[in-house]
Amino acid sequence: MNTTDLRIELDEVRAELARVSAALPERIDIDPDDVERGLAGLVLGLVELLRQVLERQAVRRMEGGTLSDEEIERVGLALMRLERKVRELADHFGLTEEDLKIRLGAAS
Amino acid sequence: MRSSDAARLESEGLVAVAEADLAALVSPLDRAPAPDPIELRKHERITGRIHGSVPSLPSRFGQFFNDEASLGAALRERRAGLVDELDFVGDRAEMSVTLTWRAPREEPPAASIQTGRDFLEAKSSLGRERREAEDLVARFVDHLAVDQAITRRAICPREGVAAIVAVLIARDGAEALRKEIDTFEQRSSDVTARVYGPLPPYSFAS
Repeated sequence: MNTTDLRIELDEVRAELARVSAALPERIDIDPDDVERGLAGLVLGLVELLRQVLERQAVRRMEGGTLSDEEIERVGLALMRLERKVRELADHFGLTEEDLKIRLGAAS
Repeated sequence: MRSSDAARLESEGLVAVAEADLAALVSPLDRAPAPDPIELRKHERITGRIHGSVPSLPSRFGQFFNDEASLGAALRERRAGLVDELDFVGDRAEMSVTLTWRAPREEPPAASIQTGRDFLEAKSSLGRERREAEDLVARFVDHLAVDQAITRRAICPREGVAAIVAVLIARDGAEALRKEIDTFEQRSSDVTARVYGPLPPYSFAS
């Protein structure tokens, strides 16, 4: 990736994060009686949010033909494993996909 | 609902809890009700009866407060938002439309996705379906000739469903809207439309 590509990529990520941050609530609601689950929801929600941002970037670059076969495989595999891990941890804490969205505002 | 409307609706064991000009109608219970069909139908019937009588914001099934003080505090804290929603909804009802793809999208089962490329291509395909559904909903809302502001939409909420669109209507506007939706469905080669309502404005209450 050359410097121009990198700058374009960073601009896209910045724009994506700005769009997502506009959807964030002003306050995060964590139930004091269930701090562990609330904290897990918050952390997993953040991780999921970033994962979705990266995934959208990767799909866009794949569709645009700017990723090599090897990069598609590597990035896709990393995102797939991260998605599965987030779901596994969410299950562990009894959190649904919707719980993660509600806590952070819909990012999709 | 407005406090002035609440007292006359106290029946079926409902109690009005007022906080300044707002009030909630509640059923006194020791714990949150179990989500079984009987309780769900009871909630739906009571909510429908209240909304049929006065402008109101429906609550989702299972909302539970420990006591009247905590409910009062919640009403106080959320007053501005609730008043805005109540004013916005006014004396209108909700119609809900489920738009289902005529030709189901063939998505590979998650377990069959093993490579990074398969994963990204599946996401790319989902993204295309989502964009198609968004275009479809835009055409649908244009066809109904309703203001975007009185609609809510869930895009690709589950497999096979392009969108669920909720529209606020005047209480006597259900039949006219059904006819418009029928026309859209007849002309659409993409989706079928199933209409529910009129309903309390669930999609317009936070």
